[in-house]
Amino acid sequence: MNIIEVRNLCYAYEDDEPALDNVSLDIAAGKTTAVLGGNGAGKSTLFLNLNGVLTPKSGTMFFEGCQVTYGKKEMLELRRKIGIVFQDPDDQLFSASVTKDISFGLMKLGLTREDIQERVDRVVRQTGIGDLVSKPTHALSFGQKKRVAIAGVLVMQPSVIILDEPTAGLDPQGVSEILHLLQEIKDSMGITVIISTHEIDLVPLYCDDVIVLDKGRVVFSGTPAQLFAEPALLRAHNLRLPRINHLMNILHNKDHLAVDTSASTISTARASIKNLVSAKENI
Amino acid sequence: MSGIDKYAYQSKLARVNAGTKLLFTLASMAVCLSFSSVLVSTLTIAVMSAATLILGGCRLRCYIRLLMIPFAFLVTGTITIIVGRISQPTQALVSIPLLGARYGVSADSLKTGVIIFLRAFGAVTCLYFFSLNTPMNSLLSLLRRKTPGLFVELMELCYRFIFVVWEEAGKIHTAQASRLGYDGFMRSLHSMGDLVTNVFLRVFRRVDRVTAALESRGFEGNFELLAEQEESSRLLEGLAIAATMFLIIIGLLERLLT
Ligand SMILES: Nc1ncnc2c1ncn2[C@@H]1O[C@H](COP(=O)(O)OP(=O)(O)OP(=O)(O)O)[C@@H](O)[C@H]1O
Ligand SMILES: [Mg+2]
Repeated sequence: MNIIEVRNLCYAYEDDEPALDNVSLDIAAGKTTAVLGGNGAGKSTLFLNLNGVLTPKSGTMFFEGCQVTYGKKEMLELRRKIGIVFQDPDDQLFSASVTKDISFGLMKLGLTREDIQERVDRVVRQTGIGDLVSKPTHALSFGQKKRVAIAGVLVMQPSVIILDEPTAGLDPQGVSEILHLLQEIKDSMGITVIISTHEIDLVPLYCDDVIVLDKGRVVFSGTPAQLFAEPALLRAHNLRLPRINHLMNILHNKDHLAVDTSASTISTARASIKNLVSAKENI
Repeated sequence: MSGIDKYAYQSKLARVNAGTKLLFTLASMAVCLSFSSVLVSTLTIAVMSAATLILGGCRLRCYIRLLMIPFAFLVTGTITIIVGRISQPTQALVSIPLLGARYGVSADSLKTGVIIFLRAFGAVTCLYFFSLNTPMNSLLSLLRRKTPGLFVELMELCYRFIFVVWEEAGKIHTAQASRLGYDGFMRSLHSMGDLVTNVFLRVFRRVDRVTAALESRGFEGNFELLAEQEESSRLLEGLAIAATMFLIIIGLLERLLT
């Protein structure tokens, strides 16, 4: 089932040329979708259109099967259900107090103080920021701020969480922690995850679907395997193959080894190479 | 994060109700200022410093370093009171003739100077107790309960974004300095101008992004936030009352006995 369907959406900043040009796409519920594309391709603009901060110039959007209208009440509801974690946490965290920042947005839901505290505590535990809550926001590191920003969106219990370049600027440890957190959010809470990223290598590991944008147009949508089967398309839109997949292609095309050219992760590549080796030994 | 701001968050009293600390500060300060007494002022300095150092856990070295700043001001201020023109030469402790009059230190001026110094220094230690043990976040929570919302919301936003803008200015400064932007007076002026312009432009752009982020979280024009949980400290309350009473009694006894 698709939780979000976008049809012929166009958007332009003021009188510039369109930042989004006739975009149509589907986001499957309960999956992780990656949005790829070079700098200025329109990823951030698309995300802001998806939760109604920017109003499309034309086109329609369906959320959970219903057409999205841009009334005030509907907008608030949509923004509660589709949360965005921004690229720069300093743009998102407006309070010097971690707890207060997380509680923002909950206050309007008509919950009691205890319920709010309870939900804040739960999300603090879930995102592993327990030892940060007593510190002021400006004393946190970049990665820690990022976690707090995620907590502030997660606490609203959205159906969809959108993360704009969640791994940019993090160290390798930080990257894998954030991605595990996202995996867990998806698996245990059934939240649909949409991320934009420039790190192709993590797409086959963590993402179920991929959408490629270029100059505001959707140029591909499908599974990672389908995408990586078309190296020419990747090159045409300033992307590249995952390193592992590139290696498998070279082994296949240049060295004429019968490896699986669709393998893009370490584990699938390893299985394919082991297969090949044991087949050779058996002869 | 700098100086006092940092110590306040590290204080052992950081999470204690800010109201209690404010009352303690104001009460002891009132006592110290209303008895013009060397004894009461000295005791206030001792009590408040002990509270900051022992209850708050501030490191002695940091505390002394921070106290040196007002100390220097107070010393220069009181020197002008202690040293002055002397009308009756018999009262002079030290004096020198200058332009037909005598200038120096008399017993009276010395006493006034010392008392003023100790009262002011006592008040400073009271205020330091509050600032070194109350993080801005908890002060803002206290204000939120008593002052118009808009005012506190502005303060909260300022307090958050001061650090963001400061960091941004720091980055621009480093970038300029690493390309010799501050080499020579004229060049420095030029670079400083560029820096200010750039910070302004960046602030404008950031306002857009912050607004977008707030809107996407359902912002409707008011910042209703969960008040942080604060511990009410019976221990601190008890100690505060005891210390204030102690200072008042000492002050009254001194008055009665002399
Ligand atoms: N606030 C704005 N005002 C005017 N034009 C903008 C604004 N934000 C983005 N654009 C333009 O819209 C286009 C798409 O930008 P967008 O930020 O969506 O790209 P992106 O895919 O997120 O890029 P990146 O990978 O660099 O984050 C770009 O051409 C950009 O110049
Ligand atoms: Mg972007």
